[in-house]
Amino acid sequence: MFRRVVHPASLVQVLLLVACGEPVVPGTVPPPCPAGGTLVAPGTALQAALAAADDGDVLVLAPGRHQGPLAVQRRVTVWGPRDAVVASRGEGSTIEVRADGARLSGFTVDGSGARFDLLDAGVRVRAEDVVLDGLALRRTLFGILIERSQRVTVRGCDIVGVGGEAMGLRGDGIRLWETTDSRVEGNLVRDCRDCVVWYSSRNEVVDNRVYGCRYGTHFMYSHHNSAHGNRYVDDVVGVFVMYSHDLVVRGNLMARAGGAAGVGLGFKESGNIEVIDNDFVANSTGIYVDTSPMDVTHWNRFVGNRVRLSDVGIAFHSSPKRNEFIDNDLRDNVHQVRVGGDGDATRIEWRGNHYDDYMGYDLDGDGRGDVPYVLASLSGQLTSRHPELAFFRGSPVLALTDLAGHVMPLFAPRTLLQDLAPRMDPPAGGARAR
Amino acid sequence: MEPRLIPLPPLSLLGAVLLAACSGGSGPTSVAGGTSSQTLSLMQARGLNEAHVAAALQTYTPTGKLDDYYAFASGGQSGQIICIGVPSMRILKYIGVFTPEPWQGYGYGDQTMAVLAGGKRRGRDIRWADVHHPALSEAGGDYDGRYLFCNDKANPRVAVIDLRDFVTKQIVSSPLIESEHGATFVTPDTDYVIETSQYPAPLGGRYAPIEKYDDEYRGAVILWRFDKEKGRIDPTRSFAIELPPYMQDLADAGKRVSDGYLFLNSFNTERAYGGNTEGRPPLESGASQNDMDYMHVIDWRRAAQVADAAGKTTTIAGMKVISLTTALAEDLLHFVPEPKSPHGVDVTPDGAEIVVGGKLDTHCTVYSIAKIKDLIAKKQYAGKDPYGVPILSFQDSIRGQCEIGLGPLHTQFDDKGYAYTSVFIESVVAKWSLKDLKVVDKLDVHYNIGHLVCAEGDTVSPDGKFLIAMNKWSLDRFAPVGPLLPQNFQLVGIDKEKLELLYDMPLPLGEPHYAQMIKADKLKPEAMYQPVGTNVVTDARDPFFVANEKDARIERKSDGVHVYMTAVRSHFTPDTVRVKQGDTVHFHITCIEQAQDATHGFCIGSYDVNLSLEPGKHCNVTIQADQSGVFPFYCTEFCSALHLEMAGYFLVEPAN
Repeated sequence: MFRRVVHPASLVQVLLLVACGEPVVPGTVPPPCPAGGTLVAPGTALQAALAAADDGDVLVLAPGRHQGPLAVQRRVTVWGPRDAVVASRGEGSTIEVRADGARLSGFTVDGSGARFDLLDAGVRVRAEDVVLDGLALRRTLFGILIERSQRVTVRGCDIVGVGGEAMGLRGDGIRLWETTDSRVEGNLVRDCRDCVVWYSSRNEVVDNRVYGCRYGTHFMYSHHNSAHGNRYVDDVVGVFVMYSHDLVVRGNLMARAGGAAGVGLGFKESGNIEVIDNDFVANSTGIYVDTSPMDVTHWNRFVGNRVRLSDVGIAFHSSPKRNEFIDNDLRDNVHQVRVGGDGDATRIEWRGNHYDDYMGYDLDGDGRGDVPYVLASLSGQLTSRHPELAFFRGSPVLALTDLAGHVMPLFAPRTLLQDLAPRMDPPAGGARAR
Repeated sequence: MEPRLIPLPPLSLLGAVLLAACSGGSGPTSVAGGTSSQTLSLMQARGLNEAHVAAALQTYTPTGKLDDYYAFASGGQSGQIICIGVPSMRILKYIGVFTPEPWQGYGYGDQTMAVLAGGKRRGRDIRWADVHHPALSEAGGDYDGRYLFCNDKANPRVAVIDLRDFVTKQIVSSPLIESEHGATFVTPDTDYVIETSQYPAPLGGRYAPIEKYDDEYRGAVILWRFDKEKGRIDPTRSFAIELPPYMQDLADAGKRVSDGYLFLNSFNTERAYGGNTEGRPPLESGASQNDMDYMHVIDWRRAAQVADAAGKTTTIAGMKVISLTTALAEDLLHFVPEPKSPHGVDVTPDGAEIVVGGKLDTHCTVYSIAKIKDLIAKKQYAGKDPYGVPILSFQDSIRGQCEIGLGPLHTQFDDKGYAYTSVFIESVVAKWSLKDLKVVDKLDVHYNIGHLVCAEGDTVSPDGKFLIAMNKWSLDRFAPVGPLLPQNFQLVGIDKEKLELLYDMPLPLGEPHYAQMIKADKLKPEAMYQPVGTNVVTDARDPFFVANEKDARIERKSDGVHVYMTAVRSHFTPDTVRVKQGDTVHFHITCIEQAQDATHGFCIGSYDVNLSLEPGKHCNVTIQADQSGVFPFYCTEFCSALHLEMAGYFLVEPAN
């Protein structure tokens, strides 16, 4: 009845996923046609059908071009195959959903207006219990906007933004604003600006792919949210958390966040965040912590993450407090850890992490080094003026720094961090970055 | 498990480290080769490294050496201005502006009390201010070193400070608006001082329920006419333009090719007004719903003509106002979308472009005035806002965007084609090329930078050299002083390729939002007041001045007792003042000194009388002698070896 669509651009991911044993590429498989629907012919019939619909009606779009914009004012289901296309007139949002419990499913939304100031979007929702599943959005300025809504599901949608070199001239792929208890799951977002969760609490962002965007997911003033199993590749920032607390960031991949602002996961004044079992691969900065947590009752925990191939593995804007790093793996980073403002990371807990530049020994064979891992550094000011000195770190150079300290007291390095029980080998579990 | 051993580093490594550390571009030329052992031991004792020493050498200013620049920072809640020497970062003066400042006797005598009275709101004395943005007067877009203006956000007021004596000469306040933020900014020849409202309200101080926000609430930009010869604002020649009820933010005047235009940022084009206990989102959230706000482009020259034309304005609360309808009919106002919650709107030195940073963005957007003018001329609009204001296309108005980092705010410029942007979320200063729109360097600052200021960095001819990062928080940077912490000014060297942190200065007097930095030799402050008897508010001889000790006298007139007094080292003449309980007493005191720094004070305990009498200055102060008793008066400013003896008695004989 409809074609299974696999986009060439995601073939690589398909191959990767096949290798990983995952069944489908998110966002590429439209849902099946619901039973008992009324077939709607292409053209302008859909607008009239929506206007005439009652709660509970099912509209099935025939393949072809259906003219937008659409206003969904009743609790209807609108389903279509991918080659049923709801087309923008080139201005405004293409579909506005104002009916609680409405469902849009399967079809393609093509285009939107181009006004940033009006938030021209493919689909704009302000209602409760709305489901958007398996939609394809193409050439929309903003993809899906959910505003002041509750219990919304955005699942398996495939969103391609306007792209282009200038990130600032794209709209957001998915935006939650003042929205709670909602789920964003298994979507594929490409060439958009950001996916944002603002002033929105108790939401789950799960198993999404965000490729080639600016912020993979940006939480601001948004509490009790979680980001699980997402893959952020080639974004400027994977996940950024501002002014938020009580989040869980688990099992995500943040890879190739490059450029001057490139960060895998960043915190600004945020706390009570559990960062568990994530892969940070080939980012400018793997993890960035700025004055987090703020609240003296909050802690942040980083457990079992793998930070690899970064320019800077973990960066602190200034001396951190109330953070702990346990059983993480820091490998192949140009700099393992940096602390700004002439600070250090000695006041936080480092325990049982694996550091590939650890050159200690394990005579008792318990898997933990018998001497502490000590990361020492020349002052941040000095290394920023003399980047060539930045390699001057880790325990192997302790002897050297001792020597230098005698010869030239100016070079006495400061301790940046100390781990009393460093692992000799990476923790079990292995990288999911494949 | 096989034990792992530490490999010894090759010895050449050490050599490389030493060599690298010793060949820094800007630091002491040689550590190993030239620094004395005394320096080394000092460095070791204080835990200093080479970069610290390099910074110290660029800021330390030995006794008798003067600073290269003056910085004038807002004093935030103190209502004052803080004058700082750069690069030493020594505080040179607090200037009393919106609040009494006892050391200067500001707000304690008849003259300066009259200045403060200009800032009354609804008849009420305001005892504090929220000073945000000082602005130096300009000629041809360059600082001329003559005047300084500043604003009070909370109680909309604008003050004029004369830089000949660093004294506040005038405060004006219009009841048209109830708060402001886009103030003060000046047009390139200081014809006008700009004051723009922030939180919309019914114009003129009326009441209207908040549900009437869209219809009754409005913003406004006031253009205060400045008379350069008199050095005073002329309210009668000033005017305002009504604006939609968005929250107008910072402002900048065009210059050179953009001369004649005025640019205002705005936020909350959603027109949210809070109500988090009434079922609406809190204001901060409501104001973050949309993706863009509107930069206001205002043709102020044409607006000035319209304001002068008959029948084009209405008068609201004593202010000439061009209504929004008239502004649109006369083509005075256009909007250009700008990234969400913008903060700085900064015109480049050549005037050709405007740089806008969005707090929630990662880019600075560079607008082209040529493109904007072209779209306006062709009336090519992307749409109109709900109030009918034409909106230009965002994409067609910009030259491009520079990826700066997380949360760019304010931008200033140097003399080499670089822009410097404060980046709030990242807490860094970013240096970027205006030509290529590429970041070339970043420097961590601590913490939460707001504004920044470069030497003459908002003029047509920036100097480069120094930048001050104005950080909102200091956290661990200074010795702790309880829960209320000072803010942190960080001096940054910008003359080299790499940004260089030079000095941290605590700012313990209110939140200093913004500052201006001017080359010291542009200022020509006077050493003393001349002629003797100068009234510092009128800048002329006070009618009650006392030329010399022979003219000192006490006269009883119908309006009370007039005490004509002189102060000179080390006595007041007369030194005995006898009045009757119930008398009104007018003190007229002239400091007849003509020696620099020979300042006297004059106080009367329990009568709250406190004056500062700089050489040549004349003060009047009027009191009701309602309490009988014996009240010593004395000089409060140590003036000579016989300073303690510079005293007298104010004798108030009981009425019966």
